[in-house]
Amino acid sequence: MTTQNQESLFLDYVRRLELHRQGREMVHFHLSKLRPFNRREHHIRVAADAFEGMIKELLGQIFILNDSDIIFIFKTEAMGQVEQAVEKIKFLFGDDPLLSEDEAEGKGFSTWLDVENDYDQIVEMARNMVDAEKNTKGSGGSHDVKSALLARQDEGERLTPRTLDRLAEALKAADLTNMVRRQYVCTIEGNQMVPKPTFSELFISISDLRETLLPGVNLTSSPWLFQHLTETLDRRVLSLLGKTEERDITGDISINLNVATLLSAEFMKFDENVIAAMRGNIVLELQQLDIFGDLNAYLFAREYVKDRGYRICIDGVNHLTLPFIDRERLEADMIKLIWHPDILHGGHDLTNKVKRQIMLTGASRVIMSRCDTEESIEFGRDNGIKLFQGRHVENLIAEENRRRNMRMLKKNAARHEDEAKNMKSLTKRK
Amino acid sequence: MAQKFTDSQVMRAVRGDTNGPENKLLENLQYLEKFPVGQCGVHVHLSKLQSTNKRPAYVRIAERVFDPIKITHNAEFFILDNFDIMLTAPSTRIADIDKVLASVKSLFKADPLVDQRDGTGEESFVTWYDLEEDFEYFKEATVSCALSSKRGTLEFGASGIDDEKLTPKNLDQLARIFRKLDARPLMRNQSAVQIGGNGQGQLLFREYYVSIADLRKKVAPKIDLLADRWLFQFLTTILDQRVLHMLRNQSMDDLPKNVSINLNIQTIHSKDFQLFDQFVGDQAHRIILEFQPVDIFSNIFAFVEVRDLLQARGYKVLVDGLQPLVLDYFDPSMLEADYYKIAWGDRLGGSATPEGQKEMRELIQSIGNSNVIITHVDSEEAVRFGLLLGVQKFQGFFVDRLVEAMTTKVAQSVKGA
Repeated sequence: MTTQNQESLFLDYVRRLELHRQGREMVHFHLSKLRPFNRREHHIRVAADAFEGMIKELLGQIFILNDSDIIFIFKTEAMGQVEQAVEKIKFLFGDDPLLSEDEAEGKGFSTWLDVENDYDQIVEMARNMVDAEKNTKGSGGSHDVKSALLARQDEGERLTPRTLDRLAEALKAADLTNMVRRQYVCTIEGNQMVPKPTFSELFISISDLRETLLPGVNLTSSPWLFQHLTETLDRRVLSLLGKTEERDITGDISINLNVATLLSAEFMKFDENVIAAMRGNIVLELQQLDIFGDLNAYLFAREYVKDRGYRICIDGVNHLTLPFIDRERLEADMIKLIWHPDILHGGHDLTNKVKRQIMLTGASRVIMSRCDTEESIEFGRDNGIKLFQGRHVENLIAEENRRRNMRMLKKNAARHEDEAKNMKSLTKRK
Repeated sequence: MAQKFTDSQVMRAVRGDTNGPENKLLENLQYLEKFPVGQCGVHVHLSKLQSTNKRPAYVRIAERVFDPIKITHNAEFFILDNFDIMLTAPSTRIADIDKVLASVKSLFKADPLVDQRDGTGEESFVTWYDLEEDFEYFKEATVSCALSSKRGTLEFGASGIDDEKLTPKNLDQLARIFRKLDARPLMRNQSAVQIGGNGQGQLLFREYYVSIADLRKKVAPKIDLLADRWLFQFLTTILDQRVLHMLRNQSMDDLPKNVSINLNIQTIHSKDFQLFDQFVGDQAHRIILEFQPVDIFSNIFAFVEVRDLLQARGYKVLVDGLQPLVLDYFDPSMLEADYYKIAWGDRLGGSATPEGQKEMRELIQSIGNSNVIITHVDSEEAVRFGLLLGVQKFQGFFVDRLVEAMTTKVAQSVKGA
């Protein structure tokens, strides 16, 4: 799924409501407390449908959370319609203990909040939801054995030398062509947020790889075995790119490689096959880890590939490692800074520190990456950053394409109409 | 251990290896002796690079830079076993060769050799010969280079060429052996000392570690454990468990006053560390935990969390394995550890120029001299140099000898008393 999750959309929406709190209410349906059988996908869909009319009339906004809870924020004027919808939903779940007589009126099923008066509480709630959602996606770090076990079930089986070996074998025979993904790095201009691609990153989707070759194994559970895997993948990517016809690679591209790979015979071969003029169109993305792991090798490899005409981007920089990356001394053309909500919400000190570091790095040399939200792009633009990458950028591209199609359709329709008019006048003349 | 060979023995070896680069080089020399007119020779002294820059992959890439020269008529190119490059070509090609040499120099520009000049002001990186005029010099240089290259191979062997590489497959077996390993016989310790203004040494802590060389001898004599750094890192996560286990199986009273161990950050979240932590109890202030930069930067968020957790418990956190070179690029003290270990190396010695020294002293001061430990100290010179830079804490072979002397003295005075 590439769409942004509902929790963060909810948080986004609530934040934007800050200046429009007045005359809005919120109702939170705790459908997660229903018995599992009563909260299957279709239950939730039908319940959500009850609000459809109001959403179309722009009276409210609905969020269906990961745990099946539904949140509806609406203008007070729609209160009558909302009450009707609530009755409908209660009826729908009438069989569930949650709606038994003593519970029905209580807080078990639904919570009502006034956006104006309870705003802080709502923001807090949304933020907690986003955090919780992130945690279930696995960050680990807990000392509690039970939760560790549960987390492991969630994250999948650990990657061991044996599974790594199996994977390496499977990789030899696997066709990776259909696992190559492309994500654009764009400038984003104007109030309309119009994205314009400058280059695209080609990469192998690790989750596709895992689903295809080792379902259920968490490839990142050991950082070291995963690093080894990326070196194996590098070689496959190089041979894949070496084989692709030139016309398949359109526009400037970037590829993610380990420094060790740049020093290998495989890269030498790849380099020999690339037309000299193309090298300037290729950005080599190197992980920051490689710089800290073996600075000496980075310095050597940098001279080597820059001399050949490639550009270098240091990838995987986050707001904590940013101060350690002296882009100018490292003579990298660009760095990719991973967006993190803390950059904006982790306190003034941190925000200012990041701003300073962006200035030091040179804002025009920074690519804000993993932009999942609008605020990431806003922050970047406010600080002089020109290039963005991430899900939200992909959404903007899709939106822009829709707009363009729309304009085309309208233009076509207008032309059609004109032609029809002409036809008419022609027939009239006849 | 290395056997010594006479020049004639080495020459026989060169000649015996008919297709070896050294023999080819000498054959070419014989030919040129008859036709030296209009020829020049170039000797690129890659053998004088710092050991960290003498990597086969680097030399392979450097070799490729010479491609445009190699394919021209009459050019001959040799890479010797010691990585030195010898090239002869028509003198008309000097400009082209110069261009290539500039590229090679920039590849190695992090190495001090590139900017070095010898006593006569000549570049140390490369030597030029006019074969028409200086054939005798060229001949002498060529022969001695061929000999020293071959001698190196004979005395130290083509290191580890026959060893099996570490792969996921054999790693699987090794990991199993490691998990059951009794680490005790493989445990070594090395002292770090603080040297006061009066030149008196004082024991700072003892670092406990597993000797990788001995480990290899015991469990995998045929496998080059260091061939793949990521797979090796994985092995260290298992070693962590064994070391913690071993320490736990004695009493805190039996351990030296201050102890340091090397761990992976992930290990801190393991059951083994939890047990160790219980074992340490209220003595955490006696334990120093060392982490590698590569581990820290692989997940800095995890490091920050672990660092805070450990420091709050009273442990000391140490950043190990900093190369002097990194100080040119970032300030390690931003990691907010208690100690930083900087490896004594060519570059520290290289900052022997007054301004280089001043710069290094400033860098160390800004990290905090009392937090810096210079490691791999193998000579008195290293200690003296470190003291000059304001450092007081040292570790290494030379320090081991100091400590030995210190303890004998103490033993003697105890005896005397």
